Amino acid sequence: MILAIPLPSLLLRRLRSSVSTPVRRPSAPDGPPAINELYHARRLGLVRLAVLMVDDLATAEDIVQDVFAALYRRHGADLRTVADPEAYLTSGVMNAARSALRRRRTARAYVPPPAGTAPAAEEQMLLADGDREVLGALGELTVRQRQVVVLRYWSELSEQEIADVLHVSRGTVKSTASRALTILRGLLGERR
Amino acid sequence: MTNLEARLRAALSARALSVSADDLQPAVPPTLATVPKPRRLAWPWAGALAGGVAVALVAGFVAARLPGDDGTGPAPNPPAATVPSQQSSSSPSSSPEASPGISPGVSPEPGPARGSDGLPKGRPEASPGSARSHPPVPVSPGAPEPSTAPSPPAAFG
Repeated sequence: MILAIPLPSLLLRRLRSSVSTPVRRPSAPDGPPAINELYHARRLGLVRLAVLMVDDLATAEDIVQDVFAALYRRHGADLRTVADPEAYLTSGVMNAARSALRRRRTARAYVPPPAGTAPAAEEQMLLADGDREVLGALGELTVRQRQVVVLRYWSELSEQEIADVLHVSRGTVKSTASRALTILRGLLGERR
Repeated sequence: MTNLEARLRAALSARALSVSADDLQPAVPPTLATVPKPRRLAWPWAGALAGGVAVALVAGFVAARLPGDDGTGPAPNPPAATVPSQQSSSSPSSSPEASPGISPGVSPEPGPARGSDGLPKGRPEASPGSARSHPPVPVSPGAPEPSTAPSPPAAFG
């Protein structure tokens, strides 16, 4: 049953990318390359998304820059071969954030984090107590659960879109979200 | 939307919007940065072509050095000088004809050459021409006449 899931997922993704999502055409020959336009338009949003994952602005900026560089290396500047560049970038940011969190957890298993890696005081001041409490509870989730929660409640993606971005099945997204909400409910003292 | 989901949305939004464009480090798009592209072979077929040429050269060299092709390989054994045995009376072949015809006593076919001691030799020590210069093996008494080595067939040169 598990083996049968990826095929419909791939077919749906291909169908979605070829029918409903407009293929991004390259810019005019005398204009800036498509990837530059995309960079200027989406960089801040992707950095915010990465910050929600890794909770560190410098790491988030590095992640986004690396994802754009990888996109340029692989598909060139006109992005003619990329059906959905935004989904590609979101998926790249999620994968890179996951790798960064794994590296960080591995490093913290050997060396305690220095005091400088805590969120800046200005950032803490901007957040209300309730928000800080929720964000602290988010830190207790697994990486996959945190990805699903962020994509669902910040990026406002549907279950199917989250499944496409994370390359998992829709059922996995649903069960992961359910488990994450259960954990958060317990941590935050919420009642159903 | 439950209370928990509303809290989640509010917290995520507050954290994300705390990052503004002014907070970002100045950066350039990857097209303006010097991104090292993966090195590729200028001509992808050049490697295969060079490999094929090298293999062909090695194969030709090996073929040229194979034994037997340069004239120094094993040559057919010349017919050895036969000596009538003691029972030559029963052998009717005393004819010194150089005929390659089958004869029980004189066999011109290239077989294991026999030396003067009668033991088979794997390879003649001398060419058929020089074999004739050897003195004939003493003929045992009673033989009608000493047998001379028949000249090798024309096929053997």
